[in-house]
Amino acid sequence: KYQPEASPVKPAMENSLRILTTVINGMRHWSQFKDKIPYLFEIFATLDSAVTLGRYGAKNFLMRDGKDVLQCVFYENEQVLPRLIRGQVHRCVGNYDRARDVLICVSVRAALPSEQRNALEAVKVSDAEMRGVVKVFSEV
Amino acid sequence: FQKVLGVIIGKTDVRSFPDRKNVEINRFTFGFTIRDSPDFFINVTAWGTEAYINGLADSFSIGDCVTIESPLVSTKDPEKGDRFCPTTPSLYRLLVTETHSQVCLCADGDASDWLLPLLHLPVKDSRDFYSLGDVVANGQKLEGSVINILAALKQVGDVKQFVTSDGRRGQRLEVKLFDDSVSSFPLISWDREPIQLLQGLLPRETGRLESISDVYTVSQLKEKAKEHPQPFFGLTYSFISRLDLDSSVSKVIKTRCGRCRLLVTEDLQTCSNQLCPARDQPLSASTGFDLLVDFTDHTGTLQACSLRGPVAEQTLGCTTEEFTRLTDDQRTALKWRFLLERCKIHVKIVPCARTKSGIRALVLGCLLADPGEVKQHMAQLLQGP
Repeated sequence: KYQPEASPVKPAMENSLRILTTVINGMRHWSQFKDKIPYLFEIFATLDSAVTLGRYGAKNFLMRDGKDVLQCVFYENEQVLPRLIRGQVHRCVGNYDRARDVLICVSVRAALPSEQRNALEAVKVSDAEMRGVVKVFSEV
Repeated sequence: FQKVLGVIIGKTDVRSFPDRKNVEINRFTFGFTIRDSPDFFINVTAWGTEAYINGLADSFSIGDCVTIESPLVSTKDPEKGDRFCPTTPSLYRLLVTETHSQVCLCADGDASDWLLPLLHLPVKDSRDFYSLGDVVANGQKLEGSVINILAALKQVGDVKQFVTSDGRRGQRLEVKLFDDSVSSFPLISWDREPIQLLQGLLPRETGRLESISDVYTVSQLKEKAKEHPQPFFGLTYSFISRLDLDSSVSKVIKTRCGRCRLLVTEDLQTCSNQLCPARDQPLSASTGFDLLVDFTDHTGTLQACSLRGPVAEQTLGCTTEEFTRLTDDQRTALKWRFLLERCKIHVKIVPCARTKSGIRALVLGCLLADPGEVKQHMAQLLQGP
């Protein structure tokens, strides 16, 4: 009886949550695969607006890196938003809403000087990982 | 002489030798030591075909209670095989062969109850041991002798697999001992069972963390656990993505039976675990932090890692007593000092069939990561393997 050669087994794509360190533009780019694997983003960027109060207790503000500007929102469910200083670099971790182009932040705080100096490598590593992931997607 | 019932306190790997009468045929053998009282234990040697000996050797381990039916009794010959066996108080040794004898796991729970404690009793006079300093001072004089050592475990290495020049597979584990006379002394084990035994021991904490230097991403930890079904230690720079500090205190601080480590409620008088060796005794329980945390990086999430006891106290910077006095807001604030922050995490990864991921992770140390160190690790990842 004819037996077709076994096709090499594709390793199952890691489907657990990831946290990607990235820049604003990178986040917008990688978010297009959000329906395939879950991830949160960590960004380091400069506060470029006042913090304003929105509906349902939302705190809205803009973050900027280079020419890219991003709308952010933080809901004070568990903790109050710390005092943010316009013009300084902050660290935001959150879930990017692609449809509204908003980062829904779950953690916001001032970035440490050493974090600002050293974040670039983590961005490169996240980019490299995502290029690999996307490659696997395109092969499937 | 019909039957011996005892607990296995030692066991060698299976070896083979060419038959004296027919060199074409290999005879297979392994040895074990069985104990049935504080004062008496005896060496047993099993001989037979490859299938019989391998099957028998796989059927029990150190710490199991077995009955041996119809073993042959023979006088010890200190010049021959017994030279390489543990010293026993008996003048005799037992022989197990396929045709005459049978070894079975003991199904009698009562017998196991009184036999199992014998596993932890020293086989020699409690004063008959060498310090590491004694061993060093004696040097060559001790070569070839079988001695007892009393020392603490500093570090457990990785198991190295190898194939000998004549094609036999073997393994090797090196551990480091220390005592008040010598700060580091290597002990090498070549047999499977002692290696498993040594892997189950936890080395002294400080020595342990210093010795863990291999850095992994989450997916590398998972892959290594899949490829090598043996416990290993590692370091990961990952975000804590679950830390339930502000749910009810009973989910953060738990009480476990001191013997079997099963969760118990404190108001119980005895352990509720039917299989607990101490279930008939008054409950001796220990209470401590007992959390399951998730770690996440750019490659994925390691779920349900145990963060317990003193390691948790060190990580959180408070004792359980201090924690219980915190207000809800303070607990939430404590949680957010770590949640979604990048941490430097020392873990022990243990393969475990019961969990969904196939592994169980124990946190040995966890603190907020230094961004400079994270950068170094990331730079290494970019360079590739």
